[in-house]
Amino acid sequence: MKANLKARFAALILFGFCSLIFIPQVNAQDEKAKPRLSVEYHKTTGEPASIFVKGKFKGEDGYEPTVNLDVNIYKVITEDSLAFLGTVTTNAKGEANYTLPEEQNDTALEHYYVVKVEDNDKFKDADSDLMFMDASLTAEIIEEDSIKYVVAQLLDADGNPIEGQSLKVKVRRLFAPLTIGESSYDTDEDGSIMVEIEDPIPSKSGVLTFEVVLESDDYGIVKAVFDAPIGVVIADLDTFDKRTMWSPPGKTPLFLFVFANIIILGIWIVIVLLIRNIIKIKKS
Amino acid sequence: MAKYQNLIEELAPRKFSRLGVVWTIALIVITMIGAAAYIDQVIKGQVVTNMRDYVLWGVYISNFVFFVAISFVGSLTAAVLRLTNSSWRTPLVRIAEIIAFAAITMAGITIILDMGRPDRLYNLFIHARLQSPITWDVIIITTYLVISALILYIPLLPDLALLKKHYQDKPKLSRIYAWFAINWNGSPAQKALQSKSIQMVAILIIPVALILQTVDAWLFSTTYRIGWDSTNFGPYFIAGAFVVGIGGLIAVTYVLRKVYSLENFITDMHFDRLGKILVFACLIYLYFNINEYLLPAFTAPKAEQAHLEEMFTGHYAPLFWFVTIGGLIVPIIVLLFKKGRKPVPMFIIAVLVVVTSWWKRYIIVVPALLHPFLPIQGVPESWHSYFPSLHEWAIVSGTLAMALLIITILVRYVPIIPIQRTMEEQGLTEANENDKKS
Repeated sequence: MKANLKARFAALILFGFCSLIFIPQVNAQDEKAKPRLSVEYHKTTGEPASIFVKGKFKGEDGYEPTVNLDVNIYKVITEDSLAFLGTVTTNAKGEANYTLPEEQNDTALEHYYVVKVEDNDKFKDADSDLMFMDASLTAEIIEEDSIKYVVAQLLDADGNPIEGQSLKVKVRRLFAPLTIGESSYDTDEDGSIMVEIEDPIPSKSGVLTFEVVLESDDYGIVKAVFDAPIGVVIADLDTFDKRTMWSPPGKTPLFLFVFANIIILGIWIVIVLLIRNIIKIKKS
Repeated sequence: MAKYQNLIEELAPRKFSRLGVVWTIALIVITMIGAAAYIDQVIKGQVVTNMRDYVLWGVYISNFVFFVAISFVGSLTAAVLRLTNSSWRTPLVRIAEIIAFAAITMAGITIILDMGRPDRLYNLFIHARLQSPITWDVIIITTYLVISALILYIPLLPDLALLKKHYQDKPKLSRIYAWFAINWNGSPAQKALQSKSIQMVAILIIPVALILQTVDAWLFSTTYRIGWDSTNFGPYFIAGAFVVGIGGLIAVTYVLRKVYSLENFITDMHFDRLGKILVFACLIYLYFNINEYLLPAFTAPKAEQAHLEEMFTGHYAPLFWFVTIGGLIVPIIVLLFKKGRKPVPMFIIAVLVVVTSWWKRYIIVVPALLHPFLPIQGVPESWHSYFPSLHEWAIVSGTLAMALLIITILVRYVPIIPIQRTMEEQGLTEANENDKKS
């Protein structure tokens, strides 16, 4: 009976010990968050194309960015054959950009990529795929009858015009691009759009940066960015180095500096003379 | 010689009577209470006041403006009367100079009381921007304080020498007078220097006093704010200062005349003339008040209308009409009549003028701050209005008591009526008396 009790007690101790050792690990496994990945194809004319990855997970305060998350990029060769391209790590916003190697940026009709989170300590495994067709976008400024236009053309990988795609025309400003004309324009049978620049646009140097953007499920985000010296140069109104009423002490307006000091000196010279007279009275 | 000695006896500073002692102790106690409240404010911060985000210039600044105003005419009147060589000025100028000195001293101190961190006073100097009206104010108050001291001191020299001799039986007091008299012996060279200096300081103080009042007005009118944004403010402040200065002078003169039995020197004629000056000042100030309130009533945008409505018929209407009727209309009506310019009615009117002038500064400062261009939102209900806290009242009372204390102490040790000049006017000099005797 006594031995039986001892055995039960030992079993209880063993169970408690095991609980302490293993339960936290089981919990740690359960605490792994499931990331949600979104993937986009970005291409800007004249620059290497890239794959943009953004990750988030459901945290205590709602959706939070997956910070410092390693994401593997694979190119799908066939349905069950993946070629590993590289790994990117997300930043504080949960974003990462993978620049596609030139050899991957080929002229195949369709491109197929998979991004994966694998064997991560904090996050569960997850993946997302990306399929797109290659397209190229060119844009420039032309002038007809003294009116300036943004002209853009969208071509596929074989150089054929792509009709019926919506292009946005914007000019870059200090904080965010400003849309020109309507919110978007559809390409015609030549894959082209022509948008009038109605108002003169002010610019510090006179050079404006335009961008024509295609945001498409089939082609990804394709941009044509170019500079054009058609801005109206604005006068420099910065008064930082000037003498103004709101400048620091060293930049007092000269008229104020001169007249105020003349008044102050004029009064204080008389005061000094008066004190001198008092001293003279004392000595006389 | 007897007449000469009698005059010195009559005009030399006298010990306080029992009432004088009680008065002085009362002033010291009120000043100490104010000092204690101020120390508490420095320790706990300005949270002990009722000044908040909107009314950030409360009773301290209105009190400061009052002191600056009352200091103005003390000196200006003295200077103008000296320069115009008005023979009746003699018994009044020193009282005016004493008031001016006390008031401008307290104006400087009041500015420090309003500062959240008085230990950072030096920043006003080391980071001074000549573009800022605050800098102008610091410069002009310091300058005016020095000039007020000079215009009080230089004409005092012959009297100090007389008192040195008069108090020979009290060596300690005599030595103090001797130190301040700086070897004055009344030689022609000294008299010429003194006369020239008085002329210089009397001329100098006029533009400086005008600049002081104008800068004080510009502290307000250079801000783009309803009720202050006015080109009228400079002359408006000068006219107001003229009124309160003359009012203060009449009130103090009446009390000193009564306490020291100076009826032979300060006569009804003096009150009559001061009354005429006060009614003239009130009429000018009334004119500027009409300019200040009537024109905006016609042309004002909505925000200004709200401000004016609050003054004419709203929350501040009782105070507004009290200061307008009590401080301007009543004095004008009473003082236009000869009977109204007798000492007793003049004293009552003068006290009314000084009290209403203090409140006038309050309604210049506070209501304007309660009408910002952006509506007052998202703040506690108590921030929507302002009335000074106990700390503020204690500190302000302390400053007023201290101003009166400075006047009281100066009156105790300085002849209220210039002795030497009175003697000269009466043909009583020590030499003449000796000649008559021989």
